[in-house]
Amino acid sequence: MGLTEPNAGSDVASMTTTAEKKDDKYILNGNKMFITNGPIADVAVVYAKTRPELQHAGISAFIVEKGTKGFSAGPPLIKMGVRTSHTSELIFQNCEIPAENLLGNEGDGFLMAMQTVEWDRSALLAPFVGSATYLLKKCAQYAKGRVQFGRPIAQFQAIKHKLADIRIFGEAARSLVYRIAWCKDQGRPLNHLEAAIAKLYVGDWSMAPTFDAVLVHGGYGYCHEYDVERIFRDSRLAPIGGGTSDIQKMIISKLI
Amino acid sequence: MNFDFTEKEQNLFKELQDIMTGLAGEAKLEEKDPGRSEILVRKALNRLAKTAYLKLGTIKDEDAGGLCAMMGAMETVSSYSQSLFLSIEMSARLFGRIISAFGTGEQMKRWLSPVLSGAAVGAVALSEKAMNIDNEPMTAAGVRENGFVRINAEKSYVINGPVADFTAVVGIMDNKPAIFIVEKGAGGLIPGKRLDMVGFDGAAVSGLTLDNCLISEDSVIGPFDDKSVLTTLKLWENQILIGSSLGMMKSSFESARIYAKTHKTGGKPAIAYQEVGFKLAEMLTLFQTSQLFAYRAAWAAEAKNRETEILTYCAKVFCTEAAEKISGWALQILSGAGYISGNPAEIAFRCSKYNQIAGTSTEISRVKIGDAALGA
Repeated sequence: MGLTEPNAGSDVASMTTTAEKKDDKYILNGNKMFITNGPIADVAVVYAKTRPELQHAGISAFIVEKGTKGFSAGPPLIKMGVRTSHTSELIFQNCEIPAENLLGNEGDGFLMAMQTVEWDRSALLAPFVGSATYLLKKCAQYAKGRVQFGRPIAQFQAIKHKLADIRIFGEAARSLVYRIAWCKDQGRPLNHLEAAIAKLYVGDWSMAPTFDAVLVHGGYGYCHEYDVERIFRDSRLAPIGGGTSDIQKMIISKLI
Repeated sequence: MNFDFTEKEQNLFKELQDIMTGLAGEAKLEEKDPGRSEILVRKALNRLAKTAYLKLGTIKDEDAGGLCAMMGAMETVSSYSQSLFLSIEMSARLFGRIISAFGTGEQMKRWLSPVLSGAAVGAVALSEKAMNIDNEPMTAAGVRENGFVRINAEKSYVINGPVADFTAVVGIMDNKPAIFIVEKGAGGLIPGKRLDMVGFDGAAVSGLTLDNCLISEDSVIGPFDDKSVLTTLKLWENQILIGSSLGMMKSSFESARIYAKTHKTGGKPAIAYQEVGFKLAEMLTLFQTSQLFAYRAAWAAEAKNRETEILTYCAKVFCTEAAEKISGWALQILSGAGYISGNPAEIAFRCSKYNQIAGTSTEISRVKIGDAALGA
């Protein structure tokens, strides 16, 4: 999904990528940034302004296929975490696409983007529920096997408290994620509040359990060999991707 | 899975709102005066008895609703008055559930009916010295004696202790857990002085001494063959404290939200400033997450899910700690207006610590959650 730009993140309306209609074609110009699957995608949905003077109402969505002339992907970005997922810039230089590649109607793009971002938020959150479950299991295994002061560290209350906090985070996140899924199942369109609340909670609180997990593992937790270190780095994406925590707070505070 | 309350449940919440609004119009709900607070508790029980509220979780009545409805209803009532809520719950819900779950038909007629009809106030005497019974064996004991049971006990922090018509005293008989039902005025039953506390100003809380108190054998529930009855009592108490915390969050959040939208500073409403609007966003996030947690734990209890105990500990830790955070943030938003006694955020802030200490404390809860993760 090509939405974010180097200078237009959550402020979607300020995007500068344009799609100019010429006969039975659109000509795309602009750059998209932080695009997941950017280097490997066979097809992309790209948002661009067909009528820049209308701001968000002038945004439209297009399908662009790999290999289209004028469309290229930048090199994979080197990131702190989530490294298995490739991310790059998408570049459009006089990229001509057939008019039939317009998704929906001209001007529908903003609404589509918002609906998609809502899914993006929801889908982005489930992995943090999964990682909390995994962390709990790994920490429990390690704590039972690691002996200090003559007994497994699992017997120390401070370790149990960390395990408890990991579990509590996971259960809270699970409830929030399931609620969004349930809202979707009910056919409720644009669940801004539910999605933003879930994103804000998981985003802001998901780092603490990974920090605890590293502490439970001590020096080993700081080493690449143990995957709690990877999950710790991965968790830093939660308050950034799919709309930062500050953006979620903006959405929620407007709705209340 | 369902994240909505039914129309019937919503109607119950509305009924409860009307009753509590009516009571608030007639009297100060956080009443410190012992006489007036007792009258208020009895009046509230009487009015609530006309709804399904007191039956929720207490007796099996499909019309009354399930445990999720109970949690939603608790939130509604506790958002009006923390003290009144605690007094009502300890009577109908905790005392009532004990009789309903473990009592005989005769015992139900004698003690459950008056409590659920709002004609009598119940209390449960569980704690001793420390606030928990997890680390120390109970010393309250009953000894059989010619068709009677002689009880000796020193109980602490008994909610409704000074005013209760019936008190369920949890102790040991024949080396097994047992519950002794002691009626007001029984010889040897000595309620302590009403305690002054940080919060819950209107709740009558005291110690309770039972000095060679004699009750008939048919006033004993149990003895129970295993200690799971104590776990069950703690679970029920924790559910009440979770419900209480939801109410605290609701009243604090609403108080801060309304203030932020109506109080102008620098020519615009306070909520227009990100420092305030963002704080409210965080408060609502924690509040709604707490609600989901509470309902999930209630659902697990209703479904008799094997994770019920642990999920309830998780919900207890989360909700009680969130209540302190939210009421604290609300005070910050309300500024001077919140610092004045009687503001919902001020009341909730003072009460919130109790919920982290009482029932299963957050520390012990975390140990139990940790033990479960370790398979202990």
